[in-house]
Parts: sequence; structure tokens; C-alpha cells
Amino acid sequence: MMCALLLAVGAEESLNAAGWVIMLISVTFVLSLTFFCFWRVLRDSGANRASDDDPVGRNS
Amino acid sequence: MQKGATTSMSTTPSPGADAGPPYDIERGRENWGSRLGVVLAVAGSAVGLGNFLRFPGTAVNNGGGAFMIPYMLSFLLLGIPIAWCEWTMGRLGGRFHQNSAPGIMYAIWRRGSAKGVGALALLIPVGIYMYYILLEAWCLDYCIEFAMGGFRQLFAAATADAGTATAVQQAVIAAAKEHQETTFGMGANGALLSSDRTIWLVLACFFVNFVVIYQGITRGIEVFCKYAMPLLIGCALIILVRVLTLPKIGTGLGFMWNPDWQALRNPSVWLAAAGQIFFTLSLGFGVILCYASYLRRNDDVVLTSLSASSTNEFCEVILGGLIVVPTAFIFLGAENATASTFSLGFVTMPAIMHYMPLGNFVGALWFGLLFLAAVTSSLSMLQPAIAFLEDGFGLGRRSSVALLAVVTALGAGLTAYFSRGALALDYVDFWCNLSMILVATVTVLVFGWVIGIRKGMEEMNRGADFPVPRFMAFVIKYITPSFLIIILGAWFWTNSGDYLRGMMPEWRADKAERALYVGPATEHFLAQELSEEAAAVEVEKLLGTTWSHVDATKLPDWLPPADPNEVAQLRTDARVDANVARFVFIGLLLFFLVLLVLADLACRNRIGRLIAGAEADDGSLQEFTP
Repeated sequence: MMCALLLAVGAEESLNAAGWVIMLISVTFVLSLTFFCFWRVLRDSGANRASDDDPVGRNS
Repeated sequence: MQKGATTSMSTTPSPGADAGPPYDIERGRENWGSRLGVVLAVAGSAVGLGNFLRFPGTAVNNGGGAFMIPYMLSFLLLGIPIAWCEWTMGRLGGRFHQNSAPGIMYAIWRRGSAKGVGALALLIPVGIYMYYILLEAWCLDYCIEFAMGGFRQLFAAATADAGTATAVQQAVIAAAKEHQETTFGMGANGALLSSDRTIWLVLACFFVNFVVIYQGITRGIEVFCKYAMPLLIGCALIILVRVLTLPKIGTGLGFMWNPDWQALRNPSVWLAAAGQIFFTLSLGFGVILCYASYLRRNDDVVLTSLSASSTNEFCEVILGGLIVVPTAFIFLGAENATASTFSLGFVTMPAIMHYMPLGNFVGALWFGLLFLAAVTSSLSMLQPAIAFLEDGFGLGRRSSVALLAVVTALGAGLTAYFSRGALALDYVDFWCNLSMILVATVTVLVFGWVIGIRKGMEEMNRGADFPVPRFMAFVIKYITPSFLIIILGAWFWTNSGDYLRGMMPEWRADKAERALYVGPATEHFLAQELSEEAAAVEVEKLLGTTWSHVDATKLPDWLPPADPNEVAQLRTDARVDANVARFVFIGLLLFFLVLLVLADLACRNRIGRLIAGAEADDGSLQEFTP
């Protein structure tokens, strides 16, 4: 049954070049941003945290 | 800095203490235990059903892949800047010893309007919670149903007499739709409360939510999200692998991602993209303000905010964008893949599982992950109100949790009772969404123009892992507020008409009566070999627009008048619906007024003293005092 249904939609347009490009750019952008953020968060977690004793903060 | 422990603010008496009860918080102030914890908690708040159901539906109906251009632009110009503003203002509010929106807004803005915006930011999460708890229970219900094999039996019974593949598909969709209407109690008001199982699941979800929230920020929300979020993403990744290994998945991906560039000429597509970004990141929701207030004064907000937003985007674009619509299309065709959010989630997705190998397992996993996403979101909706009761009136955790439980139980009970057509839910959602845009607009304006963009950016960069790019100051001061004002106007313009008219009994009755004739009239024009668009135009010429009154005596011969008894019943039901819509509006308005009075009382008394005490302790706060 599954094959029959899948064949029934087989004539529909598959992912075209523009679709591929947009999908890959979107996925890559989101993945890169997420990995970058979590890499920084996990790397800095705890060890590199600003202290309340430092009233200025690292970048101030 | 000690991790995983609550830290105490000053316990030294200050001048403000003479004016009344002690201004300092004797219970000590809570802080997040770890940075990963706060990222996952905020991401958990943002990741909800909208990521997995609303986003793919909106994208595919607004240009497919082309939708990603306005979507990503909105993310950069709207989502990230507003989130940064809210995080900064929340952390700043924490320095004033405030954890709730009324207190935070008042500490920064010292005007009567601040109390109003704060009260609205308090109303939004509590209002949304009143229906979200039902959605949560429905997800759990579907998860259990799949795990126990209930859907397999349901679909087997429905398709027993169906011969062709098309008949099987129609039977499966019809069975899924009927199951949804029964579970949601959409047939009649009160149906949900008299259901066998759903109401118990609502109570169970309610209990779980309040048990977790009672544990507090660090031991409750943070611990829960630390386990729930990875589990949710893990479940979604398993389903994604299953989906991407389906035969012919290329056609499904093509349906979702192939761009329709013409759509970019349509302003409504840009509005849909901005709206999607806005709602998905929970901006103007009051939750980020509240969560960020539990940060320490030098904790980073720039990377933390970006991390929470990117986690949300990961769930939305990658998991949401690659699972639902492509699968729906390859199994059930375009019509079911472009359904509304509710239908996509609770009709199309269960129906898909009938065809998918390991359907029961994947179905349980899918609704299990939706349930987790809903719980992490609903938890965040409770914390702002609890913080307000604690900060504003000095209530203890137990008292504030108990009081909020009573209020939300009452609201959720009413929403559950008025379940016909999910009307009460829809109206609460509409008014809360409108309020969210309003709150976010005011928040960004306060950041850029009341705090001042220079001071605001300095505060944002305090303790930041990396400084915010300088051009963001210009974006936050001018572009984002303009963008938001346009969205507010356009959103109200396009959506409010139907909702406002829907509160008028006679308008709604006319609409219901007109709907009786639309089907036969459309069939008549289609039989004359007109296209669907042309047939719709002819129907509108004949019957008027959606809200027109149809005069049955002037109908053409080929369109016989409907049964008078049926018309009378429909009109009666429609009038009840209109009154329910009015009831929701008046109820929310009264609730807002109560919150406004409470916010005013609190700001004049305890919150005012807490702020004065904080300023006395920390001289640097004077620069933020208007």
C-alpha cells in the first residue's frame, strides 16, 4: 500500500536545484550558528564566567 | 562563582527599610545554576508546537523555499535584536531585585504606562497557559494512544470496507478527523469535560507542571529542561532519519523547499515570515524578561540569547522543516500537507503513521516529543506570575504556586468547557498574540529611547562573550521598532476584522447560514466547467462576502432554500459562539484590569521599596533611573 501511494505521487516535481540550494543554505546556516553557540557555551561553561566581584565585566 | 546554588543578595538593612516592611528578600534570590541550564530553559520555552507544526505549514503556504528569505531577514532584523533587548532588560531588572514584568518595566521606566505594559506581559503567559495545558494533554493522549496501539485498531476498523487506495486514504483521514474532534471535544460545549480520559490527562499535566514549578528555577525548571530538551531533540532526530530514508522523499522535500519566487512580491508572505519569527522566539511574551532576571549582573546575555534562539531555529528549520510537510505530501498529497496547524498536527500526522513502517513507534515518539515541547513551554508560562506574587506581595513559593494553580485551573476549566470548534482557545490565542506584538514594541522602544541606546548597548555588552556589532544599535533604535509597528498594524488589519465580527451574534449567524449554501453553489459553478477561482468569484457574487446575510427567498431555482429547522439551529449555535467570543474578550479584559490594579499596588508598595533598596545598595543603578 505504501509503495502504491508513493508511486501515485511519483509524477510530482522532485527537489530542484533552487530548492536544494535554499534548503542547504538554511540548514547549514542554522547548524553553524547552533554549533558555534553551543561550542562557546560549553567551552566557557563555569570556568570563564564573569564574577560578581568584577563590577566591570570582561568586555566593559 | 558557585554553581548550582542560590545566592543571597544583600541582607543589610537600607534606608528604604524604614518606610515599611523590610525591602530585602529574606528568602534569598534564586539564580540559574549553569549557563547551559538557562539556554535550555529559554530554548525550551520557545520550542513548542509552533516549531514542528506552524512553521512548515506557514512556509509551504507562503512560497516554500522562497519563504526562507523573508524568514531569515526577520530573524536577523527582528528576532535577534528583540531577544537581546529583552535579555538585557531582564538582567537589569534582576539588579533592581525584580523578576516579573511589572517590576522590571517599572524599575526601568517609572511611569504609569510601565505598570500597564508589565500587567499585559503578565497576562500573556497566564492567558496562553489556560489553553496550552489542553494542547499538552492532547499530545500526551495521542502519544499513549499510539503506544497502546489504539490508532492501529481505529484505522483498521475504518478501512475494513475500503477497496481502493484512495478510499483507504479518505477513510484514514476521516477516522483521524473524527478522533480529533472527539478528543478535543469540538462537537459541543462541555464535551471535553465529560470525556473519559482527556480530562484526567489535563489534570495530570496540570499536576506535573505545578510540581516542577514548585521546585523553583534551579531545581525545577532548569533540571527538567536539561533532561527534556536533549530527549526531545533526540526523538526528533530519530524521526528525521526515518523520514529522510523513506523512498521518494525527494518529492516531499521538493514540495516543501522548491521556491516560488512570485510569492516574494506578496506583502502577506513577508508579514507571515515576520510573524512566524516573532511568535516562535516567544518575543513579547514576558518569559525572557523573567528568566533573564535570574542571571547575575555580569552573566553574559549576548551569547546566551543567541544560543537559545539558534536552538529554537534548529528545531524549527531542520526538524520542523524536514519532517512534517515532506512526509505528509508523499503519503497523503498536497491537500493534507497544506492543512492548518491543528489539522496538520492532529489529523494529518496520525494518518501518516498508518502508512509509515513502524508507525506506532514513530507516532508515539512524535507525540511524545510534542508533549515534551509543550511541557517545557508551559512551565515557562507559570514562572512570571509566580515571580510577580513573590516580588510584589511577598508571598512564599507555596502560597504563590497555590494561588496561581487556582487561577489557571479556573481559566483552563472555562477554556475546556467552551470547546465547541475550539473557539475559546482560538480567541484567547488571538488576543494574546496581539498583546505580544504590543509588548515587544514597547520593550524595544523603552530599550532604545528610555534607557537610551548608548547605555542600553553598554549594559548589553556587560560580561558578554563577544560584543554586539555596532550597527545593531541603529537596528534596535530605528529599524526593529519600525518593523514591529508595521507588523502590529498589518497583523491587526488582516486578522482583527473576522475576530471582531465573530463577536457579533447576528454577523456570526449570517455567516453560518451562508456556509450552508456555499457547497452546493460551488458544485453548481464547477459543473459549468469554471475553475475553482472563477467558481469562488461567482459564489461571492451570488451569496455576498463571508459575513453577508443570505436572503433565501431570492435564491435561484437551482439552489433550493435550506431546511428552516436546520437554519434555526445553526443560527442559535452561532449566536452562542459569538457570546463565547465576547465572554473570552471581557474575561481577558477584566483579568488585565485586575492585574493592572495589582501591579499598581505592588509598584507603590513592595516593588517600590525593593527598587529603592537595590538602588541604595548599588549606586551604579542610578544611571538607569529616569
